[in-house]
Amino acid sequence: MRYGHTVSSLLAVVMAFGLVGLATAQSTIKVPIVVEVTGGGASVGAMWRDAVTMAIEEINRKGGVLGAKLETSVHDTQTDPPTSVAVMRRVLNDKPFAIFGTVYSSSTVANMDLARQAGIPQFTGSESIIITQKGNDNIFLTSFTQDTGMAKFVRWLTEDMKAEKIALIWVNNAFGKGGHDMFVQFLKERGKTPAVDISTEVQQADFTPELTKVRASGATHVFMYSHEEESARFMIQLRKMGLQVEPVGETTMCTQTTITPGGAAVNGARCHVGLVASAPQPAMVDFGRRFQEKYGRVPDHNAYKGWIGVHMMKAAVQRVGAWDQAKVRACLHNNLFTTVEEPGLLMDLWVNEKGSVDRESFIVEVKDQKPTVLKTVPMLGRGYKERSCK
Amino acid sequence: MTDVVQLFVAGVSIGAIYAMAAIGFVLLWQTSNTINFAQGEFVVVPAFAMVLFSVVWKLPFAAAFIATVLVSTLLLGLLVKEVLVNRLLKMGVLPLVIATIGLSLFIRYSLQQFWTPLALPFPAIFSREPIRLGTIVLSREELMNVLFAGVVIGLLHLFITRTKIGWAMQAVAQNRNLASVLGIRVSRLVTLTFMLNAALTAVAAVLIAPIYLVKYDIGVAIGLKAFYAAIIGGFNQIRGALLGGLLVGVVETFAAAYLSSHFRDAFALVILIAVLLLKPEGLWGEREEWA
Amino acid sequence: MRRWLPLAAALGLAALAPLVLEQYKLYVLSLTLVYLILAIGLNLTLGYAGQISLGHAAFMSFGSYAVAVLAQYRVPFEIGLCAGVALAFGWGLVLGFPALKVKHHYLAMVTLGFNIITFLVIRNWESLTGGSYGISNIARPAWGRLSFQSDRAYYFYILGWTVVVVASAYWILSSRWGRAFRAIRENEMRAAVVGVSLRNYKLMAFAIGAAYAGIGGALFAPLVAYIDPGAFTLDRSIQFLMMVVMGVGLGIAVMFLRGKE
Repeated sequence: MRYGHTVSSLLAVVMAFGLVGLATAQSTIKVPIVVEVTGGGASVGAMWRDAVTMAIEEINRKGGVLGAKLETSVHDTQTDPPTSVAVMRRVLNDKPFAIFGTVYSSSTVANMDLARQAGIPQFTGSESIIITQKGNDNIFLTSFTQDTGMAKFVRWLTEDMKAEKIALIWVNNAFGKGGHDMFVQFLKERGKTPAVDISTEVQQADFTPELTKVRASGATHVFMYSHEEESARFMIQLRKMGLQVEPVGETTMCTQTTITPGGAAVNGARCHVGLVASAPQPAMVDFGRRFQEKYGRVPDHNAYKGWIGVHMMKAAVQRVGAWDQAKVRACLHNNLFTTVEEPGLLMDLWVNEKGSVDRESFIVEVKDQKPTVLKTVPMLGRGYKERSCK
Repeated sequence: MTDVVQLFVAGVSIGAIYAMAAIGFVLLWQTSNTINFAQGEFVVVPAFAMVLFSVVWKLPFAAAFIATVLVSTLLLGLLVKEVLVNRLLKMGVLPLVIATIGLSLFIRYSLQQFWTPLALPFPAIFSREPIRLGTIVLSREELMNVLFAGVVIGLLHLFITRTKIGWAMQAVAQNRNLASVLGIRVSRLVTLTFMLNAALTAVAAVLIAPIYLVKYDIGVAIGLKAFYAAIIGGFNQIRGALLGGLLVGVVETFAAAYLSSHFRDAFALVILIAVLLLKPEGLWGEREEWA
Repeated sequence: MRRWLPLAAALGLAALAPLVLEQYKLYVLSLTLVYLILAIGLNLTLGYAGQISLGHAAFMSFGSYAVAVLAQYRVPFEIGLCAGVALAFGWGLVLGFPALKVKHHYLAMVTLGFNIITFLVIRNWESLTGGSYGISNIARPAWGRLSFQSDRAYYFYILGWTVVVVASAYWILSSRWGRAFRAIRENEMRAAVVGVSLRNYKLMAFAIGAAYAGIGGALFAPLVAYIDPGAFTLDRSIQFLMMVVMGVGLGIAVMFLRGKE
C-alpha cells in the first residue's frame, strides 16, 4: 500500500535525527557562520564566509580575544528562508556566543527573531530597511541600511553631481524595493521625483524596454539598483545603445562582481559605496591584499562586511571586558568604535539604536575596470561619542 | 516612432535566439516524444564550454566554437540519449519529463558548485559599436543575431526537406511505427535528432551568452521561453517554433515598455494559456493525432 | 488489523517525539509534517489521477497568505485556514478546467503559468500582502486560553492536522473516488467507456489536491513565522514534484541533510 512507503520513510527520518547527537566542546568561544552556501545567494555567501573565517583565524593566531580562542563552523541556509530558520535553530542548540549571518534579507528577517529570543547577538550582512524596522535589539548590521546609504547617495547625487533628471531602474525584491522606497523618499525631501521609475526582475537579461524609456525621458542620469549580474547586463546594453546618460549606482553597480562580467562597459559608472578594496585607507587595501593572497580573488563588499562584523564583536567584547552577551548587546547600541582601539574595524563606525551603522563612505568611478576612489564622504551624523561599556 | 523600431529590432533579436532553442525542443518532441525540461541547461553547458575553450585555454574563436559544438553534441546529444532516454522512453511521457527536470537541476547546481556561482564574461563575437540610422540606434550584435539565426534555421529547413535523413526524420515524426516498418532505424534517427538539438543549442549559446552572460542559472529563463515559443507557435512545425520565438520576444519587449513592468513575466504566459485553451496545437501548428 | 500497525507505530512515535527532541529537530519534524501534507495533496493529483501539476506552490500560498493577512486583524487561525483552503479549492477547480482540454506537457505549462502569475500577483499586490517585504510575526493558533505558541504545542497542532489529512486521503482513495482516479490515470478512454465521468473526477483531483496544499500552506506560515513571495516560486513546486516522485520521506530527508556542512 502506497502509504506504507510514506510511513516507513517518515520513521527513517525521525530515527535518523534521533541518532544524530551533537558533541560540543566547552573550551572555546563558539561563533558559527549561518550563510548562503548553495542556492541563488551562493556567490554572496561565499564572500561573507571566507572573510569571517579568515578574520577568526587571524584573531586566533594573535592570541584570541580576552585570552579565549574563537571557534567557528559553516552552516548552509540554501538561500531559503524556512531552511535558514531550521539552520538557525540547530546552531542555537550549541549555545554559541554570537552568530555571523545571514546575508540575504529575506532569510535574516525570518531567522533573526530566534536569535533574539535566545539572546545571542547576530551580525548580519543584510542591508534591507525591513530589518531595522522590526524592533529587534539583537541584530547588528555590518553596513548601512538603505536609509543611511540612500541618504548619503541622494545627498551626493543632488549636491555634488547636480543631477537634474534622474531615471530610476530597480529590481523588484526586498532589497530593491527597500532601496527604491528610500531613494524616492529622500529625493522627495529635496523636491524632486525620478524622471523614470521602472521595476525589473531578478535574473532579467534584456533591458531594451527600460533603456528605451530612459532615452525617451531625456534623463541626464540613470540610477540602476539591482544585483550584480543584472547591473552588468544593463551596462553592456546601455553602451550598445549608445545612450548619452550618466550611469550612477549604489554599491552593487561598481563592485568587482559586476565589473568582471560587465567588462569595459562598466567603465565610467560612478557609485556611492560603503566598502571597497581600493579605498585610500591602508587598512582596507591591506585586507584586500591578504584576502586575495589567501583565496585568489578580490574581496567584494560582502567580504568586507563579514570581516568587519567579526571585529565589531571583538571591539565590543574588549570594551565590556567580559564575554557577557547582554552587555555586549547594550554596548553595540548608540556607540562609537574607532580603529584606534580595534584596527580590524578598518574604519571608525557608529552603531545606532537600531543596530545599523554610520561610517565614512566613498564615491568611486570605474576606470580601467577597477573601482577608483574619487572622494571620501563623511559620516551622516555628527558629534558621535564613545561610551564606556563596563 | 524610433522607439517602436528600436524595441521591435530588440524583440526580434532576442526572439530569434528563443526560436533556436524552441526548434530543437520541437524536434525532440516530434521524433521521440521527449519533453526536454533541461533545454535551457542545454544552452548553458555549451556556453560554459565556450568560456573554457576560448577564455581559459585561449583557443582561437573558430576552434573553440567547433570544440564547443562537438562537446555539446557528444554530451548533451549522444550521452543523454543513450543513458537517459533509451531507458525511460518505454515508460511513457511522464517519467522522461521528470527525468529531464532532474537533469536540469543536476546540471544547474553542478555548475554552481563545481565551477562558479558568479557570472562570467563572454567575449562578444560581433562588434558592439552602435549603428545609427537617424535617431534609431541599432547594434551590430542584434542584427547579426537575427542574420545568424536565420541562416542556421534556413539550413535546418533545407536539411529536413531536401535530404534523405531529413525525410526520415519527418517520417518518424508523423508515424513512428510505420517508419520503422518501412526500414528506417528509428533509434538511430532519434540519436541523430538529439545530437542535432545539442548543436542548435550550442549555436544559440554562442549568440546569447554575450547578452545573458554566462551563469549557472540563465538556463531557467531560456528554457521557459523556449517552451512558451514552442507551444505558442506550434509544437509540430519548425516554422511554428520560429514564429513562436519571435512572437514571444517581441511581445515581451513591447509589453515591458508600454504596459506594466511589474507584470512583465506574465504577458507571454497569458498568451500561452490562451493558446493552450483555445488552440492547443499552437498558432501555426496542426492538430496532433492520438499517437 | 496488521495493516494499521506501522501507521499506529508511526503515530505513537510522532506523539512522543517532543519529549525527546530539542527545538531544532522538532522544527524539522514539524516542517516535515507540513511538507508531507503538501505532498499528499500533490500525490492525489499527480500520482493517483495522473494529472501533472507544476502549480502546487501557488495553492500553498493561498493558505499561507490567508492566514498571515487575517492574523494581522486578529482573526482566529482556523478561520484563516478555512479561507485559504476555500481559495485553494476554488482555484483548483478553475485549474481543473484546462486539465479537461489538454494533457501532459500542455497541462504542465498551464499549471506552471498559473504558478508564475500567482507569484507575480502576490508580489505586486503590496497593499494586501506586503509585497516583497513579506509578513512577519505570524501568530500561531489559540483556543481561548489554550495557546499553541510554543514549539511543542504547535507541533501537536500540526500533527493533529496531519492525521486528519492522512485519514481523509486514505478514505478518499479507498472509496469509489480512488478507483475512478486510478482508472483515469491508467487509461482515459477506457475509463470513459466504462462510465467514469472524466470531467468531474479530473476537476476534483485538482481541487482536492489544491485544498490539501492550502492546509499545508496555512500551517506553514506560523511555523516559519515569516512569509514572502519568494517562498512560493516555481522552484518550490518542482521541489514538491520531486518529493512525490521520489517518495515523500526520502525527498524530505535529502532536503534537510543537504543543509549540513
